[in-house]
Amino acid sequence: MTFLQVLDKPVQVSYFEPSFSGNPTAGSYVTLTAGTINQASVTGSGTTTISLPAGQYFVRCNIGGTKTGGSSDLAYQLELGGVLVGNEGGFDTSSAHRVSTEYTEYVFEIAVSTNLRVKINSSAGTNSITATYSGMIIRRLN
Amino acid sequence: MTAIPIAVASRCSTTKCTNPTAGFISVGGVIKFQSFTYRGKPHLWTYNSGTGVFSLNSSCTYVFEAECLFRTSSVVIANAQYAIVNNASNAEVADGYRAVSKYYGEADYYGTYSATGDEMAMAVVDGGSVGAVRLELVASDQTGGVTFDPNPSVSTYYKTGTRMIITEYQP
Repeated sequence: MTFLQVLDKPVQVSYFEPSFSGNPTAGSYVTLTAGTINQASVTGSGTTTISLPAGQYFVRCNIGGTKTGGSSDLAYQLELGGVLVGNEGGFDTSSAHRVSTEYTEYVFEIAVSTNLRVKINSSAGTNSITATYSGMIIRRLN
Repeated sequence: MTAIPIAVASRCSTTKCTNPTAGFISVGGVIKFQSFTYRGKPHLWTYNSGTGVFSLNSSCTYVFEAECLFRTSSVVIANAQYAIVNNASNAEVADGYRAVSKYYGEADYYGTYSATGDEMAMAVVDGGSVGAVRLELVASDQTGGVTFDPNPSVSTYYKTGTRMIITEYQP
């Protein structure tokens, strides 16, 4: 059974910036650096693995940047506690017939502190990830 | 049993901004909303409809999510990039990212443009640090004086329009 839980606590918001040096390759992970707002006390800034305190979360990560053209593609996904979760995000490219949603997101609850990463599932052509078009927002709901 | 947490009505104000002022704007132009739908707590931000600037409450944290529908002033191959901008510094909000709109043909967009991103601009803002923001057309791949209308009066291809969601998290 699934039910909606209405919470009556302030929501804590954190922002992280995804980055990657060079052309992302399949199986690699992006670096996540904390922005100016980190109310959810997420740790691990500047590495590929950040740690979330126990709680309920809504996480969305969008990766944008530059590509070489229609032959480029990049697909990525959240990895929570070593398990891929949520929908797959990706660059908008014609060769992969990928349109609309670019970001990956997931709603979840964790009872203990858990690691979160963003994994590159596949990459084609030459791509770069830039902060101008990329960001990850973490909402801790309790 | 699975619990799905939802937005907190008692600590949160959510506003959908729509119906921007029609008319062509250039890069640097502000998208000015005219219609608003409110849910949750009464919002603490204020709005200047003349300038399109939202003044924020210093005790709140904000999430802005904006998606624009433009038409261009002439038939061109172009994209439009828009973002939440700090009204005092005129810089894009640090904790946020630009949107990249898509234009005029798959081959052109995918083959020509190097910039790629979501079509939704997003920003997280601490009202205690940033006093006011605006939604702005910040860049375009197109040069040569082409301008963009955020509220097309005739929409042949689209059934949705420019809108922005403001979520105000109150203490």
